Amino acid sequence: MRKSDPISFQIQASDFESKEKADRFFTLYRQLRKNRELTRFSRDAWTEKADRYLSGLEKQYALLDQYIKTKGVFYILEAIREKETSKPEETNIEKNMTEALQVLLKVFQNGLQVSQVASALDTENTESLTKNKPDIEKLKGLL
Amino acid sequence: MSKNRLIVMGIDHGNGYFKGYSNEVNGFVLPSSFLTKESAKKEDAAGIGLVKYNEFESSHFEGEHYVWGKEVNTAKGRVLSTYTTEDRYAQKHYKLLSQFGLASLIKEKEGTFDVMLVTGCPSREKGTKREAELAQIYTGEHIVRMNGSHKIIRVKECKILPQPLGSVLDLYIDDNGNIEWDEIGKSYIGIIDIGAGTTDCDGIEALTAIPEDRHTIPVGVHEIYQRLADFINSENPDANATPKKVEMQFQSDVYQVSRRLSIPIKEEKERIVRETAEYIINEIQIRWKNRSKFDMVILTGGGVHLMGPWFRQFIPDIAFVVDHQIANARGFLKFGLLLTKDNEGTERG
Repeated sequence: MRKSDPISFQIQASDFESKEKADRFFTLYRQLRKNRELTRFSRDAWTEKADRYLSGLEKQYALLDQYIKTKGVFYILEAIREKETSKPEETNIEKNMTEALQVLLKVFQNGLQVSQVASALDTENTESLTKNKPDIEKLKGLL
Repeated sequence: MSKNRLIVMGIDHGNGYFKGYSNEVNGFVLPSSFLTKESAKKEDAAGIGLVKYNEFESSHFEGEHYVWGKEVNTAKGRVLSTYTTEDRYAQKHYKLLSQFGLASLIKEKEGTFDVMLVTGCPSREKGTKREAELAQIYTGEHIVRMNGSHKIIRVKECKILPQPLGSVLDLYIDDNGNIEWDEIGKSYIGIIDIGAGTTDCDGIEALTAIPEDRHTIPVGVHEIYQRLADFINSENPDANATPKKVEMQFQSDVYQVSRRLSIPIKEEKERIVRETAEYIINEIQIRWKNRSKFDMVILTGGGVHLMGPWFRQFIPDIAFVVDHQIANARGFLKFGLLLTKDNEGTERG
């Protein structure tokens, strides 16, 4: 549902027969509004506020949603910006932080389950997370 | 001789919508249909210019003025559609819209531009004369007058991929031309692309196309809109329902001919969507007898929102591409950018 779309559902005269029924009706309305705003916020925050989109499947967006709701969108955006603007000469703390953030990014990209995040954050298991270039000759074979 | 800056484009000219990306224009989705300028004038009889279209004239059909924009979907006049499957690339309106699309993907108002284009064809057309016909439409010089200014567009190269592979490339490559999702390059992936006119299926194993997985089923979401329009017109011949008008009201359970006349469509709509989805799934069952071989099955294309739930019953772990309507075009652009960088490297080397 887009933000501009109206929230519409059937209203019957009997919905307002008693206070309880009316209250239930308005609770449903508020819930729908809340759900819609949350959905819009999580996805569009990525494309509009971060000025990038998450190239992926719905499972990855669900994971992004989960992170935004638990950590907050500003934490996520800040993490991405720090990663993207990180300088080559870093202190150990910054280096560890960058690695942790890259793991976070990898989690988004690969759609890992939340339970796997802890093991992924173990620096001993952290492999080099620099993005690789695709094999262009292999891709040309698709033509 | 000075060399023009190369513009890289990714175009998915579908039966329902024209999706385009370039390294200058960050993507658009517009109807695969347009109006004559005269017809558009009638839409705006009061002359107050409320409807904003871009105006085009092609050097191939001088003196013929057309308009194109998202408002075409709601236009009451005679809309010229590019929808067809037989001899599609030979149609005048298909050629015209292809040129309008090229011109729209260039930011500057006028000038001479060199273009490297990646586009898609239905999977079964890959490697046939149809692919050559499509390349011929785009390759070469196009002179298009857009909003009064001339653009001379020289398409230096036109590369053609089977349509569904655009979505795979979009998932695989990021905006900077790096690998975004490594698994794609190592897995055996089945892709189903539900378009307006066709449903394309493709298989790709470790980025190598598997020809025996390649199929095109000549049914898409247009059939749903067409059948529902036929139903509405059989209920009331004065309804004059068309597939496009039905699409615009598809979310509603009642088709509104006017404020005084409405026709309930809920049950019929549900039945038609179910039957169409079941038919496509049945065809895929026949053609992809073994689906367990795939590490991942992906559903993409404009039809995902309508038929997704039925496909999830058929393949419970099927993954839906989020930007299903535009993912192919964006994947084509990413591929085009990689090819261009590679060519530049070769030239320098």
